[in-house]
Amino acid sequence: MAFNTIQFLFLFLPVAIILYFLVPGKIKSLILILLSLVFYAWGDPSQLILLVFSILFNFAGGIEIAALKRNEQHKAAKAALAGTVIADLAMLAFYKYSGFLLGGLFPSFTAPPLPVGISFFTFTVLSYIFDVYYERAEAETNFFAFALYVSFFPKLVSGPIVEYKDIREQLRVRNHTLEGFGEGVQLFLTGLFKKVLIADVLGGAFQSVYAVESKTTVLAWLGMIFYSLQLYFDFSGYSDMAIGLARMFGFKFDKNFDHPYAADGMTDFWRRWHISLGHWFRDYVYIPLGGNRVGAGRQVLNLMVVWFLTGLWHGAGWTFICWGLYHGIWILIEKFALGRVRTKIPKVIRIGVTVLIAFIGWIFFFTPTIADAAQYIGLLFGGAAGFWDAATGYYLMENIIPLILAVILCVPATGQAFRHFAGERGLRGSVISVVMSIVLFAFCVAGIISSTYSSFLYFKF
Amino acid sequence: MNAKKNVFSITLVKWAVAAVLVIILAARSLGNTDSKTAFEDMSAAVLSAADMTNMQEADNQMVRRLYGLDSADYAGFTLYYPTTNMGAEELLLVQFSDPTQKDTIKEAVEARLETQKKSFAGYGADQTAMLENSIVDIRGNYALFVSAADPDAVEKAFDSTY
Repeated sequence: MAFNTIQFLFLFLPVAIILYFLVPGKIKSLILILLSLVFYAWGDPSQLILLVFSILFNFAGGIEIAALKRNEQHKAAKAALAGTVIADLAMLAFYKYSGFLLGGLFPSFTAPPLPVGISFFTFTVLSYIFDVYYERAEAETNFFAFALYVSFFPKLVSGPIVEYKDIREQLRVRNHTLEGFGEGVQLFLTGLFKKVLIADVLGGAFQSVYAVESKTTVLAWLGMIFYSLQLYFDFSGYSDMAIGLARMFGFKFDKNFDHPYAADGMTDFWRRWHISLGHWFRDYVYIPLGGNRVGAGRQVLNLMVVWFLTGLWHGAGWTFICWGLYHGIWILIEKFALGRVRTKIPKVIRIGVTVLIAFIGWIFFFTPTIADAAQYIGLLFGGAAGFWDAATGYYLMENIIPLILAVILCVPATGQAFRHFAGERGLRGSVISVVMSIVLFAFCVAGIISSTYSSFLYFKF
Repeated sequence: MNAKKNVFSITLVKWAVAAVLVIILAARSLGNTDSKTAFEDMSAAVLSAADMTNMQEADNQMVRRLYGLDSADYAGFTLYYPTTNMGAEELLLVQFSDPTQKDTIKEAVEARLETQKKSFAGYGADQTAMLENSIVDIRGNYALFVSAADPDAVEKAFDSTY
């Protein structure tokens, strides 16, 4: 089930809220687990078995590793860690990468359908297993707390990837306040607005532009810009909805996006884009490999391993690997070649260059092969049929309003101004806030009803 | 000694869970192997289990219109669609000529089902209920989509003939 559907907004969510707040505190977590399983099974219950397996297997794995460490059987603990991690990764590899790995060798091989959210919940359980092994958190002995950690529906299918050590306490004790619930509702609505009224509109614009066979230079740029903005508003909208929903149920998750298109460098970009995934790779791959504590040569290798894996995580294909390495190379250039010279460049130029690098990178996401990506990049820099034509003008003017709105919303000052306005205290502030939320919700529902269903781009990862 | 025994039990439980998953996935994948039943036999079995009163056979032009597919691309293709615009009965049986056609059929059926649901949403309660209860079964080299008063009977025939 997706958050931007009528079933979710008018059936699942109201029922979930009513049930959750009606039942006594002791069984609130159990209700959330059951709701999460229904949420996941909606539409295709056949994949539920993988989620249930992941919960049972890693719950036992965590207890096993902790017990072996307690008994000072360190080698056995390491073997248990390796066994658990390999089994988790094998499941992910079977569903996500078997087509990529075997498809070339055996053309008749068809990969099994990719279960929704498998990359996210596998990384969630791996975070737990590593936290237990490295003693950053105690093994969870309460099965319901662990099951909730893995299956909690707001974050289940598309993150954010919450690390176990950061959420352990909240799995047991949560504060439910009207203020917190209200914050959650507002954040959820912000996300819904981003998805329905910006991302989906820009998505339609991108599809139309991408389908044009003979693109002019400006049209190719427009296509890239539409897709880059769509991807940001789609995924950050989903994250806002997930974090907002979690907040309604008393959880506090860190933000997953922080105006990435206002970053002034690629390292800064990755501190702002899909923050939870960046933290995951930092904590569970980069630092265990040695992080910054090793020589320059090893650091370069570590970074490229991380970026190779980041690309591979996004999808089983050479375009995604290429995209990961592309980002890795820019980060290496920034870290080792540019150094402090970069700070002498005016900030506005640094931001512009970062946005350009990031936008060109997304071309690898929407093109099926590296050759197609290279061809598209060629269109941007003079390889197109011309510079401008009537169709280019049509597509630009047809989508100028959502385009301008999206660009304005990418600027951090817009969010600050909105929060200042919406955060006005007292009765007047509350009335303004409620009215704005109702109007926003009505527009979003109208948007959902009037258009065909549009899935979230990150679901496929 | 007890502590070690406890750990051993946990390890055992952990791998038993993994073994159960592997067995289920293997069983599923075996159940997904190609059927050797000829298309004519499968078609006869499925059609005999369905109430065809409100359905008519579609020609290739109608297949293109309703599903956007070319029936000639497939090893076997039968589509029955409602005799009137007020009907939601439908039966599609396809035999793939290669495994890559699975996704195409799945998407086409989903799109058709979505269109039908939208057509009846708000005024056709019976038709909507029928579409909600419809069955899509894609396995091995066959795909079945049935929207009918008793879709389970049709699927049962499909199961036993597969």
